[in-house]
Amino acid sequence: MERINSFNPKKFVSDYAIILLVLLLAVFTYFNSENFASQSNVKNLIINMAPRFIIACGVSGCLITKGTDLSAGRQVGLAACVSAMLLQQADYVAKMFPDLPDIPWFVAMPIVMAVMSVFGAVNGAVIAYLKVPPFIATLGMQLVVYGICSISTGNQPMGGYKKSYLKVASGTLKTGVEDVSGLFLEEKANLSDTPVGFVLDFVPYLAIFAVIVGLFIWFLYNKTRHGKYMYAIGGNENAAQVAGVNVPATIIRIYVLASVLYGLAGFLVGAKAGGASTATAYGYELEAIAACTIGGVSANGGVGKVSGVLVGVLVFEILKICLQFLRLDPAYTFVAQGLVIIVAVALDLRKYLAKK
Amino acid sequence: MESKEKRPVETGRSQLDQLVSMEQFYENLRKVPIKYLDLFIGLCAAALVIVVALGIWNR
Repeated sequence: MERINSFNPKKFVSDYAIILLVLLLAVFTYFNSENFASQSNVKNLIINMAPRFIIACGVSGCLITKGTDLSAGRQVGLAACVSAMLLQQADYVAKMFPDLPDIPWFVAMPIVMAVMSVFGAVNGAVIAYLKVPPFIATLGMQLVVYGICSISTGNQPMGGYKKSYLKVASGTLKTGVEDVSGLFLEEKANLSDTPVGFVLDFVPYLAIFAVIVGLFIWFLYNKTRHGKYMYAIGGNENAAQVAGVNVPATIIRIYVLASVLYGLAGFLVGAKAGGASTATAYGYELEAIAACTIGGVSANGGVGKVSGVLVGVLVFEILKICLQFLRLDPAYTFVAQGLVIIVAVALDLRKYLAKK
Repeated sequence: MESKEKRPVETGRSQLDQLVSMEQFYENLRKVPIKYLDLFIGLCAAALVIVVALGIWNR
């Protein structure tokens, strides 16, 4: 009797070609550069991944419904600028709004997310009711958002953030693993020359935000009616409508959620960079779409998992870090990233054709 | 009692027009033989390796 789940090496290589290629590059980089597998590099990887994963989660919803969101990067940039306006130090000389009262970061964060949700609602309404192709609608929104960002900031970079805001990005979870004596291992390690055990020092606060968002999106996609509607629309919009799905409302919800996530990501990117300008988060939308495609979110709709998005973001970030460690000129890095995106789309297309 | 069946709104457009742009893109490529696509993917992967090698060579 033929085994149903027999391992097919050709299919495996075809399905995971990009991931295998990047892993090979990582192994090559590990043997050809120092500190590639160091704790600080892992921490750096996590810090870079966190906002990109949040953006990719937002974009994944659009892709699953056969849409896309080319305004993602610009929305993240605007969110970073709005965060900057709200969270500059009171005594900062070049403060954008000198009369603005002191706002804690945990109040500013939902304000930024609420502001960004307006753009998502407009995107969703234009796509759902006016039937404008998502590619065109979000491309227009990209320019609108960039214009608003330029006008509101006067094309001036902003800085002078409050320390509490900067701590959101630079802070890490408790450094050191407590032992019975009450001392942290790190402290013990400092007392003697020989390191004592494993020191937990690479869980930045940014990672906690990313984990919370990841869990929320997983729950939303897999355990709620909204998630089922989303996959149904991606699979066959007409069939979903016949089955009673409120397609326009679901599409608007998806784009609003995406923009809320861009707002959160922009807030974190601003804290991470310590400043914001109109150039903040330039090109992030393509990285997010690429990460989703690498992670198995089909641009043809109806397919995609949060775990896949995470893998896609991880693979894309490892690729960038490998190329940095190999000290490649940025020009070569762009070509390599572009090729990875092309291969990812081609593989997605191959899966589609193989199914037909 | 029979429940009233919900039907999609008729737009008067052909089936092909109703496909979103991304779906049209995929449908247009249906006639492409998979071996050509495999060849393209292989060439891109080879190009990636060459670009990284060139980047290391010229650093």
